[in-house]
This record gives sequence, C-alpha cells and structure tokens, in this order.
Amino acid sequence: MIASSKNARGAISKWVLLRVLWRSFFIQAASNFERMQNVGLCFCISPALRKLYSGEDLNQALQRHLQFFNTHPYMSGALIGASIRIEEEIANGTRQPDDVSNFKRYMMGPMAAIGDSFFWASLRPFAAAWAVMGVLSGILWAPIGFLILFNLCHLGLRTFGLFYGYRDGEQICERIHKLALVKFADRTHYLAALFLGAIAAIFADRAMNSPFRLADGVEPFLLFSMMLIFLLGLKRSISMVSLLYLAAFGTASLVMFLNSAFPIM
Amino acid sequence: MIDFSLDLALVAGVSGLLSLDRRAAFQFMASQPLVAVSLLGWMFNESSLGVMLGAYLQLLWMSCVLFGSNVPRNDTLASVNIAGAVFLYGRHVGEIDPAVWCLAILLGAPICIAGQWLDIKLDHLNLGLATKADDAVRSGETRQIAFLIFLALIRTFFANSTATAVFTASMLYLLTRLQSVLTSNWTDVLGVIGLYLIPSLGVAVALSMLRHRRGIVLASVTFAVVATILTQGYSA
Repeated sequence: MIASSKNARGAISKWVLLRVLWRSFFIQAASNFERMQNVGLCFCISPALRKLYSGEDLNQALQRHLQFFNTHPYMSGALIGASIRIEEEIANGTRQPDDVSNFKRYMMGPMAAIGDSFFWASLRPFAAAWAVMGVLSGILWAPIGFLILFNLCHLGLRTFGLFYGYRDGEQICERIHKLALVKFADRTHYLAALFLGAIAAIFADRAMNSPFRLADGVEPFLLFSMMLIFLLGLKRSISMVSLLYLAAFGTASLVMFLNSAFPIM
Repeated sequence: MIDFSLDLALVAGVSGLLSLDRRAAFQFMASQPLVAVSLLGWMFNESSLGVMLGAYLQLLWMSCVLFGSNVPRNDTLASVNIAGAVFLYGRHVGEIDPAVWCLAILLGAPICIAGQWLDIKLDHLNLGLATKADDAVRSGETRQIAFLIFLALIRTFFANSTATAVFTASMLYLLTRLQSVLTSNWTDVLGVIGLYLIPSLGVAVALSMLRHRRGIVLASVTFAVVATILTQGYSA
C-alpha cells in the first residue's frame, strides 16, 4: 500500500489532463519491438503521476508504466485516463499497485482491436475513397476534407477517451463498447465499396476519352477485368509492387508486339 | 545547382516531418499519399497534378495499415519520393507529361520496401531508448524520459529526410536519363500503364481492404451503373 503520496484525491486538474492529452500524441515516438509503446506511455502519464507521487513512490509508479504496452494510438486516451484514475486510487490507498498493470494488460488488446477495426480498416479507407472520388470529380480540396473527416473522429475519440476515462475509470471500456464502433465500421465498408465502384467507372470514362482508346465500349470491360485479376492476385498474397511490375512487363510486351505486328503507316 | 539543392532539401524536410506524422507523432494522416503529395504539389505550384498523383498513389497504398505490431510498407516515403522526383523534374528538367509520372511510379514503388526496412531498423534502435528509460526511472532522473522521446523523434526525422534526399536525387537522375532515350513505343507503353494498369491496380488494392464479399459485389454494381451513365453521356 502506498502511503507517502501527495494530496491524491482531486490532484489531477483539467490542465494536467490536457498536458497528458498533448503528450499522448507522442505515444508511438519510441516504439520498439520488445515493449512497444512503453516509453511513450510513461512519457504521457508522467505529468499526472508527478501530481500524485513524489520520491521513490514516483519512481515505482513510473516503472509500472514502463512495462509492455501496445494498443491503438487513438484509443490510448481511454486507457491512459482510466489508468490515471486507478493510480489516484492507489495513491489514496484504496487499491493495490498491481491493479493498474492488470487493467492495462487486459484492456489494451480489446481496445487495439476496436481501434484497428474502426480507424485503420474502415474509417481511413472510407475517407480516402471519398476523397479520391472527390479529386477525380474535380474537387481539389478533397484532401483537406479527408483530413477533417478523419481527424474529427480521431481527436474526438482521443479526447473523449482521456477525459471520460479519468472520470469513469474502468467503466470507460463499457462506454466505448456502447459507441458500437465496430458496427459503424461495418457500414462504412459498404459506403467505401460504393465509392470505389464509382472511382473505377470514372477511370473507365477517362480511358474512353484518351488517345489510347481501343474500341467502342471495350475500355470499361478491360479495366474491370484487370481490376478483378489484380484483386485475385492480392487475395493470394502477391504484393502490390510485384503485381505492378508483372503487369507493366506484360503491358510493355503486348504494346511492343502490337506495334510491330500492326505498324501504323 | 543551388536552386536544385534547396528544392531537394525542401522535399527532404517535408518528408522528415511527414514521417513523424506517420508513426511517431500526432498521426493526423497528413502522411497519407493523398495529402502528402497534394502538399508537395502545392509547394511546387503544381496543385492539380499533385492532387491527381496523390489520388493514384493513395489507391495503390491503401492497404498499408499499422495493424498491431506489424510494420507495413512505407507508403509515405515512396509517395514523397515519387512526387518529389516528378516535381523536381518539372522545375529543373522539362515538362511533366503522363510518361514522366508513370515512369516515376514504376521507379519509386520499391522505395516502400526500403522504407519498411528503415522503420524496422528505427524500432530496433528504440530498444536502446527503452533500456535508457528503465535506467532513468531507477536512478530517479524521470525528466530524462522527455529527452528520450525527443531523441526518437529527431532520429526518425533525420533518417527519413536523408533517405528521401538520396532516393529523390537518384530517381530524378534515372528519370532524366530514361526520359531522354524513350522512343514513341515506350511512351505508348507508359500511357497504357498510366491509363489502365495503375488505376485498376489501385482500385483492386483498395477493394482488397473490404471485409465482406458483398462489398465487392456492391462495388461491381456501382461500377456498372456509373460507367453506363458516364458512357451514355459520352455517346450523347
């Protein structure tokens, strides 16, 4: 039990939480293969720990946060906020120091899974597909739209997670679960699919209006067939770079052959 | 020569900052090819080309995602080098035509693998920082941790900036050499690659991210509907 703590209850002001929020943007700065985001986490949480502990207690508290830690960077706010609340209770003497390590150990995986599924596998492809379609339709500010759309969710969840995590402690995980991010992510997949279909059609239209026009109406079929072949290749784990070179080599051979077999007089 | 060096330094500096956004700090997604290349295009007065090239590169590297402890291909380094070489070509060598940016994509695509290797090396180097953090906390020098974070950021910035300077300069040299010897046959090949191959590969990469098969069916139906509308408009 830690008894020599500073005035623990209510020691964490909004200003301290804002400092922690700012530092949470650097959680992956010193990411390493052994303990992943441990140095970043220790850096993030140290302003709060300094308010709770001093001397040897502070060193021990910091050491608790130098253990293995790996979660989705945008979801880290929730875990950090809840960890600060638990540390506050440890400093008060109402909980054991192991509680905070156990909480992080059990929750970092599920939080990472939610973050990966929502941000990396759904929101980013969706926002990017929307922005690419915008660019191809002539909206030159679409990249800025992409940044705004993505970061509204990113910053919102990071800030919400930290402040509510501190307020609710371990209950934050239930709150995030109630946001139904995974269900929302599933729906954005369908929207992304719509945008990608439209993008492919715009490319087909461009091919039809280009100097490399083949014959009436063949271009969309050609583009679509190539797309499916590439998709099959990618699903069979052939890398994009390999496919690019293979197809470029095939195209070069075909064009050279056609130009030599049917020279334009 | 001074102008060229300054431009190269600018590309390298921007690349260093974007590499920080990619993994080490903020992660605002400014490092995504669409945003990064648009930014470079704006800096080199090639806004429309930058946005368009960014859109192609975004599709090609849509599947580069930092899932868990996985280190993916470095889409930022590859995109910035491709765009940097294209824009420097436009400013110091000659006009940028579709053959130039197609060739740049073909030459620059493997840089994503070199970037991945660089990321892995940086992660290994960060192991040393984790050990130093342990020592600092044990000896009570807790403020040292902020310095370690700063060191990691500086290291990432300089490693990526240096790699960009080397790759962009090499790519520009190759682009200039190859462009001067390209026959009309090769220009045709690059035209076809830019018009059919890169877009279809890009959309395929993006589609491969979809979790449900119904998504692919939906994309195919949308393609058929939009293509029909666009084709009829074209015929009319």
